[in-house]
Amino acid sequence: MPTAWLRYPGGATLEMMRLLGIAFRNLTRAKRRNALSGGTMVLGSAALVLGSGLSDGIARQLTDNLVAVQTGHLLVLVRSDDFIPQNSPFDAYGQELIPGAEEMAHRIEAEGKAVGVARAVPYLHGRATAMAGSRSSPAGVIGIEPSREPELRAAFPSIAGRFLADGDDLSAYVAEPVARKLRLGVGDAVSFVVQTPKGGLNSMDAVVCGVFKKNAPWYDATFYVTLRAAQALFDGAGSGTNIKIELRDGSTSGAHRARDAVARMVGAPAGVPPRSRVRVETFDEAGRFSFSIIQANEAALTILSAFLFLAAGVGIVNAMLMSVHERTREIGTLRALGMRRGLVVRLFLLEGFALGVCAAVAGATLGGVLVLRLGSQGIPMNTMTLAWMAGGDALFPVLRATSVARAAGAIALLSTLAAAYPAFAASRLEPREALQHV
Amino acid sequence: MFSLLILLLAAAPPDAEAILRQADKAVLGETSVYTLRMTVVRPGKGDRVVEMRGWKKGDTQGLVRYTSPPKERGTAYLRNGESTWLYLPSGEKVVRVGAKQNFGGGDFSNADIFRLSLVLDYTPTLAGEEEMEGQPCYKLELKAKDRSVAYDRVVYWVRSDGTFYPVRAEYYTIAGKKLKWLTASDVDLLGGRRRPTLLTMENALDAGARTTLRFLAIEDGVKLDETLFAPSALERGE
Amino acid sequence: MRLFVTLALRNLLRHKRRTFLTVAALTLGIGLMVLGRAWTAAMEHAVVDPAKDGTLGYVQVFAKDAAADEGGRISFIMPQNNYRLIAEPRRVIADILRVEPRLEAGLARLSIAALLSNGESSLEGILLGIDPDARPAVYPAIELREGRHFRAGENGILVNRGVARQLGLRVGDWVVALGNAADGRITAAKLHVTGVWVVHGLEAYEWGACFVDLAAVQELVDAGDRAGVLIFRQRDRSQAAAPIAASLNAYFARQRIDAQAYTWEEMGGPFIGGMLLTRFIANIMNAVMTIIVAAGVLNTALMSVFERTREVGTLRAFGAHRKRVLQLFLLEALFLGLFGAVGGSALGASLVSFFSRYGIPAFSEAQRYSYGGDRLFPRINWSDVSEVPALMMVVCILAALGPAVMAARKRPADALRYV
Repeated sequence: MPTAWLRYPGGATLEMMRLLGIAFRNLTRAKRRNALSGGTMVLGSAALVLGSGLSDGIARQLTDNLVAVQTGHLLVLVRSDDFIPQNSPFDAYGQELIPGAEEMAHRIEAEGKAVGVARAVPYLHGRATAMAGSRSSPAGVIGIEPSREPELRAAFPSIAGRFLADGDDLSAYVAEPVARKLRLGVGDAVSFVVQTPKGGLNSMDAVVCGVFKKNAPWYDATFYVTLRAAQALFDGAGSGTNIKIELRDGSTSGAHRARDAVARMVGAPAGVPPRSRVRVETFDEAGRFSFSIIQANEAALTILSAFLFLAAGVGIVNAMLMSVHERTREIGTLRALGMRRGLVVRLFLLEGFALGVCAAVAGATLGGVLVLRLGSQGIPMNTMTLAWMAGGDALFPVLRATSVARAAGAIALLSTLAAAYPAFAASRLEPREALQHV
Repeated sequence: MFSLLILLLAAAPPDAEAILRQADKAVLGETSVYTLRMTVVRPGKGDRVVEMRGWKKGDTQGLVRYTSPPKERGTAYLRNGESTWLYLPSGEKVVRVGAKQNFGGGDFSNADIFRLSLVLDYTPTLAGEEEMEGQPCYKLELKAKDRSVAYDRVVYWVRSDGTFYPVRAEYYTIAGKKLKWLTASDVDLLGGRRRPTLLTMENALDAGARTTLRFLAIEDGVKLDETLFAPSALERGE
Repeated sequence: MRLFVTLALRNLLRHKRRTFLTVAALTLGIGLMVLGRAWTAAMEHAVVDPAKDGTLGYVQVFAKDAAADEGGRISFIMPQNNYRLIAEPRRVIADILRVEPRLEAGLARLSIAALLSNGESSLEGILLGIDPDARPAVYPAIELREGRHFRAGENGILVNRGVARQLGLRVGDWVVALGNAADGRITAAKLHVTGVWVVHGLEAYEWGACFVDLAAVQELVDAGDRAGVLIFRQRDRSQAAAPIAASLNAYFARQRIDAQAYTWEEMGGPFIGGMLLTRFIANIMNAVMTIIVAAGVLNTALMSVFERTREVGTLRAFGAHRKRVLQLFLLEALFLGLFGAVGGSALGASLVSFFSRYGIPAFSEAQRYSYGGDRLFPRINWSDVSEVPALMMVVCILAALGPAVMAARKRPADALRYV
């Protein structure tokens, strides 16, 4: 090993690279010990990736159901002044028709670009009695613009037939449980009878174009029809009960920031029933139900990860110290040859970093493979409890690059930090004592 | 010449609203007291028979009290102005109910029972004459005066032989779907004059489901006191 | 023997820093696991316990295929208007209690959706018809904001705060419930508001639900002497409910009884979703933590064995048996585990008692629902404080077993030559 560069004061990149190479090689010298501490870090990072995968999976499922399908980032709807939220998934549906909702949605989308609006999509939700043959069931009818609801289509994939298409004003896309209850298959006829907000009775006949696998338990009796058809059914041309707005900045803070601007655009339209108002709610307000589950999951994961790190950290420090102890003579030799303290510290830090990186990569890969495998099969949530918790019949863990990077980065950081104390301990060894160590 | 004009005038078809008014009064008069038997037929289940006594004053006030079967005796419905009230003996309290809710579990709604007159809610037009149930009838197209009326459109056949008995009414939603239809039949002498005594409402959406109202006794022109139609009076017995 | 104990302790003290760190890792790991257990236990206590004692019960018995006319999936939360019912519920409850000694009490319940009316306005509510005589034994968590519990025969109703406010009801008022009998006629029951109920921890889940005398609900739907579900309470509430439900189902199959038993976990729905998830994650983390700590101990033990190879050789050369060498190393591991366990329980216990005084604050709306309030107060549970450390001590010894065996097997001659 050339000794000339040992005298360099600073750390040029090339030198760092050489040091790093040495660090990696040193790792292979104490295979068992490094395998052990590395192994625990692999396990730790795999667990973190899996945990994040589960948490992200739940969040994605609920978000898909909530943000993409129901509330968007901002939701325009009519609320009565004495509305009390029930902590239920149905809180997000407006109780009355927003007069001129379609036109309002176009306006918000056109004028709202400046405040961050990406899309504004209206829909109409109402309660109906669905009838087929001699069977009937209370049901929710939701009128949508099919081409503008790709997330809904992805969230409720069809298990028979096909999704709605624009202009399919005589078709209905039916949830599997109510299809089973009314014995409906693709091509069968179903009738809806409703009381319109004004008070008249109206009805609609539809032909089932597709049946979808509902995931969340609260969509059991849902029929999707085109917005046009729903407007005719509930006797409200051009109206809707909700306008969901997608923002470019989809975070909670972004939504809260944009809300006031959108509320000004919406104003106070005429035609709203007395003691009710048009409101603009953020998704964490309108969708408190789902959002609260997501938050709870994330909090649980964060806290438990912290626990994990703490315990792992101490173990790694221990292992590193043992490494230093074992290599006392070697360190003495290096120092006797002129290696400065700073370099010794850097070397051990890099060893910690190297181990951490290897373990993190291995662990993240292991965890990632597990998540992908489970994510394609899905973990069945076969009791009602699990279904409510996960927002669906199956949980599909999701591999998110940021979560993986965060887990891997955290482990690598932990390993490097844990090596700090041992590194300093190593650097403080006096060459003479060290060389005498047996 | 003059007599020809009169003949012509007499032969001209009457105006739609006049037909409707006459038809509205054909079964029950302006004020009446009546007894009727309601039978609710549901496929797969037994028939349910309820007998009741009713008081009608004009088009906005009506009271009905069940007299049989014993389990339901004392149940009462009251219509006064825009409100409909229900009294159930087991509930011991008068509660407000909706006009469009069904009456007694059958195919008539509360609004159907208490407003057997259509002229207040609908604008009639004469759509010609045709035979219905074997009788020559005027065919009236009734359009709801506003969107809060339950049935957006009613097609109404009324006998054109001068009796103006209603023969059939078909009730449609805004979308044009037939929800149910009413047939008036069994013209008989009751309470001093001839009138249809059987009203059958059939459910278009549930095959085999229907409800019949058979008038057992009618007394027209009775003087009825306002206090009879006060919600507070419901709780007291007959 | 005492010699070896002294040897073991002295050996540990020879490498103070290493021993300290290993013990520190153990302490931290154990302490955090104890806190974690107390935390999840507290969440269970905050929401799940009230749910079990106020509505879910522990084991639920429905008619077989109760929801067959509703699309198939039985939901405890949803009204049972169209469910198939269980006849003679009190007799069935008595039979079940006789056959299954692990259950101590049962209650018949029928929940329907009905209209509640104060005369002027009406409100769609869920009437939970319960047998008032069985209520104290099976639903002890139902408490009162106002008023008193109803007795059998007085057609009583306990409304919730929201319903009372919306209908303007006060204790002593009468309210009419409107329902539908199977033949379609409208039925009514006049109910006496004896009180306003509350189950502490479940305030967010009241949802228009009112407790009503079962007889009144049966009359409303003209159901006769039938119930929708039978709720049972376990004698030993820390036991798992699944084996009891399984044995009940076997009994039903044998006797050809048309019923099916479920556990509270299966039927709990929104009440216990959060808790189940946290439990699941906590179990994974516990397992991982155990492995991490075990690996640390293993590392230390290996290091120790290699360092002292010559020493071991000397010992053996002086006549010590293999077994003694093994014992020596295991003793060291035992002491490490013991110090870690003591330290860990102390740390865990003090963390838990700190939070039990000041509470773990809820940082989000979601946590408020899981916590049943703004703060969560964990309790010191002696089984937690002793189980986890005991378990970890065993883990320690097991982790050190490998290296100890390795040390014991070394031949003295080889060992002495080791440099």
